[in-house]
Amino acid sequence: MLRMLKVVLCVLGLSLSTWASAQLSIEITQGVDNPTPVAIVPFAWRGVGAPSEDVARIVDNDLAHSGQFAPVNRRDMLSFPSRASELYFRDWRAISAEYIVIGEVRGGARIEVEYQLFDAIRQVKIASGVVSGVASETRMLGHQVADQIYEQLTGIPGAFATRLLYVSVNRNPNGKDFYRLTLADSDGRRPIVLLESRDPILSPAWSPDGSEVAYVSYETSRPAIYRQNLMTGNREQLTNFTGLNSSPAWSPDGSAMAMVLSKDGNPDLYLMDLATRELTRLTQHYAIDTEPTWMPDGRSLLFTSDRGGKPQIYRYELQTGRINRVTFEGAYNARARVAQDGRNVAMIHQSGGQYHIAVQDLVTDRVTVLTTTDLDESPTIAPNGSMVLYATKDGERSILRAVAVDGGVRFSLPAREGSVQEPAWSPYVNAQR
Amino acid sequence: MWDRIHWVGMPVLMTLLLHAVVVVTLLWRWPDPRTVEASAPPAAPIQAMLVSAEQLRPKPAPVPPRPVAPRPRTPPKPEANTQQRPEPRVQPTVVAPERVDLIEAEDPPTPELSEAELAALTRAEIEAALALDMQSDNGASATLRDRVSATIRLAVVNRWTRPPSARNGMLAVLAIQLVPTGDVVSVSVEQSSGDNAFDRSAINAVEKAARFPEVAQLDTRTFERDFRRFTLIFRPEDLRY
Amino acid sequence: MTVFARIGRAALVGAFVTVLAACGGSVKEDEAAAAEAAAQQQAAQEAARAEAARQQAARAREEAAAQAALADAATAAGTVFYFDFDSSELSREARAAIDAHIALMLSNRASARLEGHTDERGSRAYNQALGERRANAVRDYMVANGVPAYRLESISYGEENPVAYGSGESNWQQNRRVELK
Repeated sequence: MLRMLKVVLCVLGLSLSTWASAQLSIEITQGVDNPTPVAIVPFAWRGVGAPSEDVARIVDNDLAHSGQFAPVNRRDMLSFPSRASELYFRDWRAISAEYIVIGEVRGGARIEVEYQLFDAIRQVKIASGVVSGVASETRMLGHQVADQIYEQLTGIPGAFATRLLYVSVNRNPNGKDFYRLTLADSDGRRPIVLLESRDPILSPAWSPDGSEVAYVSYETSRPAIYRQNLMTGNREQLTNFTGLNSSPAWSPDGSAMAMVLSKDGNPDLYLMDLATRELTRLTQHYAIDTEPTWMPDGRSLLFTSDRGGKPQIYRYELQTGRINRVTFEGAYNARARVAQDGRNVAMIHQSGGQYHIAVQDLVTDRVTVLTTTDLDESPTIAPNGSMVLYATKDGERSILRAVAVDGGVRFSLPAREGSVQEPAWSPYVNAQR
Repeated sequence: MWDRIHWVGMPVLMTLLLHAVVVVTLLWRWPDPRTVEASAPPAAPIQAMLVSAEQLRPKPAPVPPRPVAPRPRTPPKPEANTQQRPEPRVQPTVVAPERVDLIEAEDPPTPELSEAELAALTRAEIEAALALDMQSDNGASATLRDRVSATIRLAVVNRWTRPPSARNGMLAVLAIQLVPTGDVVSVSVEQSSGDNAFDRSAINAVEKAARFPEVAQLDTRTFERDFRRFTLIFRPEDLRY
Repeated sequence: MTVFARIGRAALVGAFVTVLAACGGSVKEDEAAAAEAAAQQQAAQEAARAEAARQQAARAREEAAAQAALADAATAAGTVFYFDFDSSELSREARAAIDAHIALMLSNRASARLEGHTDERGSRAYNQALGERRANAVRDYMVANGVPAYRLESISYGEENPVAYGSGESNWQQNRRVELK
């Protein structure tokens, strides 16, 4: 009887309850990261005279080189709208484009580039913008449009409207080689020679505001560090010490220059106050200490040292003078360059008997080798941290190559006669020339 | 006497019968709808794929999708990892021939395979999924639901391009609405990751899929209960960091 | 003036001249003797000087010959000294070659410039420092063997100005060097 009561009560209780209706949830924990197809329609020219540049092509190349996007081939485009009213989304869904960029170029001596960015799947406009400048800067305007579109679609600022410094060497079999310190756009175009010499030029470096460069020149038949203003062309010799004068590196606040001098017996790191020219010695060790580079917060430096036997990367804290080793993988690590996030460090890394460019994550200490080329050197990181440019051997000369920090895309910069070495990527600047 | 039986016994009998019906209804082994832990064991490239009929013709061994998972776990072999990426990926046509998409969203909607063939093809996939789903053993209904969930997951994975700002552990939840043909009629962000580009990449992945043909083969009850409205949880585990 | 006065003056002048002539005559004689003696002395001196000059010339010839021999030895030894990979140690051959230059420099006042180089492997700035190590190794060896330091200058060019532009050990070993100029 009691048992029957229990059953009845349980059943009554159960009959009042409903089972929990958990909704179906599917977890997506991986992706495939195909480059996003984007259609960049040739921009209409509504200016005076003949167009000087194919602006859409510049945007096309920049987005392709980022590795994130797969621009649609113009041959596959079914129409060429330049205004929103001319845009039929079905033309673009038919060729699997996910985003569409249309635009026009106007002006004469002064150029205006206007673009519009559409989402082909949702069939809405996402963004539009206008950039303007003198006609001779049309290429840079194209890069600015690419930067804006890149940022709209990825959330990260683009680094296409930036510059490169590098040293170009023309071999002279009968005498001394020609060295040229050269300034170009980030895609290697529009090179300008800043300095020409029959003696070596090394270690080009940018000031943090992009207005000046520093380098080592052997024009006095001994290495010395110089600084040069890009606008005025004024040069100043900063050092004249015996022995090495090498590896200038501007501090992030622009007030000091780290450098390598061997005047006191062996190569060590020094800091020169640019206002007073006062020198402070940072390291004092019989080993080779060289290639200082600043962490973005300006509080410590990474440098190369063979104090442990072979070259490795170490970190010097300015406040305390403490030195810690940073690299533990590989027999040879040198020439560190830190990304703006202060976390990724590109370097020359020897592995498998070859010299590659690798990136070490300072937080996880994980090392990722980025390149498959050998005899790689002089890595430099884009100011948005997305790409690494470096020099590598191609036959008997040196060329520049780029690789994405996540290893996703690789390409070479347009080769020119002679050897190209020691690239240095500019910081972000407002006024480019 | 009969009156008593009539007046007392009948209601009691009816009550008991009613309760018996309730008890039976409650204790019958209905399927237990629950979260499908459809994430495959990490680092294992997905071998089995749902293919349309023409792709069943003799072809080389299935190509695993981009080895995103293995890469973070094999630092000693960096050359192998980086060589798996092709040289400049500028044209989509370079990538497409290497990839077999699970669901050809542009194809006409003709279910080409019977359930038995589907089951045969995706057995390995299901076994992996079911290995994590211990408590559901309601036979055909559970298997079908898991199988369709797995195909939806694979279709979205194949179309998800993460933005460079994406990081492991970011979380976005999308609410999806389908119609019985499998077409996606609504995608909305139920819980944002905080990163616009990340959210949009998730939405794009679903919109690119656009349609899940296997859903059309579901019985009405399973569809209404599980697939008319469901959520997709985007939480990457395979990024560099 | 009277005639008498004129005759008197002439006689005086004449006597004066006669006296002078007589004296001159005797000086000339002394001079002749003295000149002869002097000439003899001069001849002797010249002979001695000639002898000395001959001796000096002979010495100079010897010295020149010795210097030439040293210079030849130095030239034969070559002005380029080679190194092993990643090393600034002087090999025995290098030392022998440098010895010849040390000998030459100890015999003259010339200065020398030591230019250090490396092969292309690795980073440029590190190679600059490595090149300096090599040049300094040669310099220190020379100083230790008596050459004054102020006459030696060591400079590094790192990987710049290679002799061989290709890759591979046959090219690299030609570039790992210190040049003496």
